[in-house]
Amino acid sequence: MRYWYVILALLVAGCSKDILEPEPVDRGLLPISPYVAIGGSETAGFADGALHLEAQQYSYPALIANQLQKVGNSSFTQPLTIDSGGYFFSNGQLYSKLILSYKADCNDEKSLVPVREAADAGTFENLTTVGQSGPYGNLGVPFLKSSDINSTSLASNSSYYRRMGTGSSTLLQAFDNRSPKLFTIWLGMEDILDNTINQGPELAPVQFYNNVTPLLDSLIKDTTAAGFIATLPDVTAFPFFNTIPYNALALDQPLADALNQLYAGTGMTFQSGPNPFVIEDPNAPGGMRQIKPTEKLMLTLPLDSVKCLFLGSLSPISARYVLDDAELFFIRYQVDNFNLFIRQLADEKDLHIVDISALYQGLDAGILVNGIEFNNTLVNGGFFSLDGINPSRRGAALIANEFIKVMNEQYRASIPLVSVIEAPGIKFP
Amino acid sequence: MGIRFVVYALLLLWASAAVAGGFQVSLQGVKQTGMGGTGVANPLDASSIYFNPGALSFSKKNSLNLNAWMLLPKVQFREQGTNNIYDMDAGASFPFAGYFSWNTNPKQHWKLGIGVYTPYGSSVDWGTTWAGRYVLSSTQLRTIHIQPTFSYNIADRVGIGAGFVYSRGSVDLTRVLPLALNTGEEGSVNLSGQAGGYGFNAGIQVHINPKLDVGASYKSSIKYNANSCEAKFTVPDALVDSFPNTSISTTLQIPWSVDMGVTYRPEPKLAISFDVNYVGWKVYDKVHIDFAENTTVLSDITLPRNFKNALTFRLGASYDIDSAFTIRFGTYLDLNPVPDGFVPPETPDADRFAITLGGTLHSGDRFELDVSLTYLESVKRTELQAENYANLGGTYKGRALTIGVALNFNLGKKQQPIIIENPTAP
Repeated sequence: MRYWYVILALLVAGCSKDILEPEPVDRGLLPISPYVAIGGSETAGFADGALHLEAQQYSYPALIANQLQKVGNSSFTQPLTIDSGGYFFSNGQLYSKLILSYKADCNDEKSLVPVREAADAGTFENLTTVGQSGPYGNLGVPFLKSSDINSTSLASNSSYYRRMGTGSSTLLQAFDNRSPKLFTIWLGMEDILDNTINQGPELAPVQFYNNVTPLLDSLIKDTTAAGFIATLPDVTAFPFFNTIPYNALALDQPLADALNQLYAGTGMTFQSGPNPFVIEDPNAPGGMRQIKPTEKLMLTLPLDSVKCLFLGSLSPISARYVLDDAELFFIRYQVDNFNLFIRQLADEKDLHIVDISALYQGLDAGILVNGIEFNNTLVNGGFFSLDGINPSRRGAALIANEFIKVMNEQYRASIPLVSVIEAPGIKFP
Repeated sequence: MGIRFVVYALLLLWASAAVAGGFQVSLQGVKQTGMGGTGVANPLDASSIYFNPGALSFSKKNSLNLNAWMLLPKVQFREQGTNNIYDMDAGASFPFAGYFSWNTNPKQHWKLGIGVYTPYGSSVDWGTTWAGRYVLSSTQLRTIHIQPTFSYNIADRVGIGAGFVYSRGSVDLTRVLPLALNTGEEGSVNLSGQAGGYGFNAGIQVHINPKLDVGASYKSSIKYNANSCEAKFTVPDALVDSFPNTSISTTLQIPWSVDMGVTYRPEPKLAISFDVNYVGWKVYDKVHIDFAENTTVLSDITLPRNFKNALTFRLGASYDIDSAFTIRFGTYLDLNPVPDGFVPPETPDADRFAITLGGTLHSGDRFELDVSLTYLESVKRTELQAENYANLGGTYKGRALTIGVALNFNLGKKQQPIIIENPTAP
């Protein structure tokens, strides 16, 4: 009878130990170190309108590197910012990251919107060079255009590059010095976005091809290196262009009547309720017209002027806040052509395509992950950070997983994927 | 500490997920537990009130039968892709069952009884950081049945019986919401409520000859209409208006069950039982939660379940070593009711296989002590991310150890065993 105790003890012990083993992980034939990531804002961890610590820690290259650590020894460092507010340098002004907070509008109505976090003195420290902690694996530079790759003026033009302290006159040189065995490339985004948002110069797709070619030639000198290159998403689907509805001009009857009188003969009509905004258009009679349902307004539109100064009704919205049909057509055409050249580059240089474009397309219908849906909506959609352009932490995790999936497929590796929902979500006050 | 407290404490303790298909808890008598859960055609004691009300009239004594189990489950989940392993909280739970059977005169052909038992429930706590937390963090589902029963014996050949079942069911479910506070902590919603329901349990037992008994019973489905449940939201201040605490209504139905059994006694000391349970899980096709107050971001929830009816096969034996000691052993195979693509974390279900051991110590005719030990292993269940209704893909694996103890008090005058008794005409 006393054996009962032994059996019982064994069974109890059996119930407390692990009953599932992790699946075997393996890097397969993938060289994993040194890993260098090349790209613009998304790559650098610029999100919520600033380069900031949390977004850097959850940049897609950092997340990929974390997973690589699980299949071998791979060191990867990033030029992390010092103050958690991060920084964004624009027109000589320094800004902290965007956070969700209450803001009173011109009518003193409070609403929850992305606002710049109050910057403290630490913000300026972010500009200090952190080159001593390099060389870095993440060589993503916010707002990096393809023409910047081989430009000696990048250091003087970009504080983001300067603070990385690579000691190289060009970014191309910095990449070359790292002699990566594994590299990921996501370029072209900033060429398109600069043209779309800042009215920057249009870049011919073949010029993009020419800008990127020397970089790739340098990277593939080592024939054992593994390279991955991302396709570009349709940026016009980003929340930055889709959050303010074209017809958010709310009018009551007297105001609608007044506007009808004012704009009589222009073909513009107004009624009580939601109306399409009035926008600048040099080709329209009088230089203005109403925005079409297919056209888009940017998130930077000054809403206080709309609410209190009759912007978009008495005075037209400046074209720089608007993507009209022709512009939308051109942007999508650009994206498609850039992608053709990216695929051609991948072919020529023996790189593996990571179809980030397809991932973003999935957001249109929504991507279900562990019971929650990611989509194109600002804040609630979860994929985009508060700037409506760059991915959130979880968005970056979804992007990292696209890279890892291709690595696994192409190199017979079994690198575990990033847990998307372990990355922090958007925070509410 | 009053009786109320004790009752609540019992309600809190008994449920667990790991023992049978869906959220069934197939622990209703320690003797039967030791015999692979068989008992439909084998009147062992007053627990026939549950297993087969028809068999109750065959049981020889007035008795009080008190059962309790300690259930030690272990369930793990390995997420597809990330390879992360998560543990379900493996705290012990304590199902129980009590029965009392009675008639004034052993010569009479009828018997009355009452049973209190806990046939369905689940107690699951995956924590608030696991991969499926937006689907389910924790749940406590409990039902307690009270069943007054009447059983009648015809010529010592056929026993029929039926019981009315009143049941209380309660549910408490917590789900993490993807709404982070500035601290990084996430919001959650807790749904809780309770309701009553009615049903019945009827059975027939046929004593073919001293070597062979057959029996069948039907336990009806019970529907709980929970109209006054509560939804409590813990969300960032900014979202309190969007997620108002509100009342909810929902319906939960537990399945019917058709149980059939045969018991063969090659010699008086040895009994071999084989049971089949067919459980009507198809009634559990969805969970719809209706919020009394909806907002732009808070709409009613419908969770697909699509369970299918499922079979359980049970084989058990008992052997009387001497007049003081009986040993029992058995095994069962419990086929799970959850189709691929719909494995929910509150019932991380898979086909289960168990082996059981048991014993009874007889102290004269008045008292019996029963013990049982069950070791249960559930087959690895892999749910593909792309197929899962919530995109929660991975592999579940469960194991459980159950220890049961029962006390059996035989009351009143010593009775003649009915099997050898010559019935008197009324």
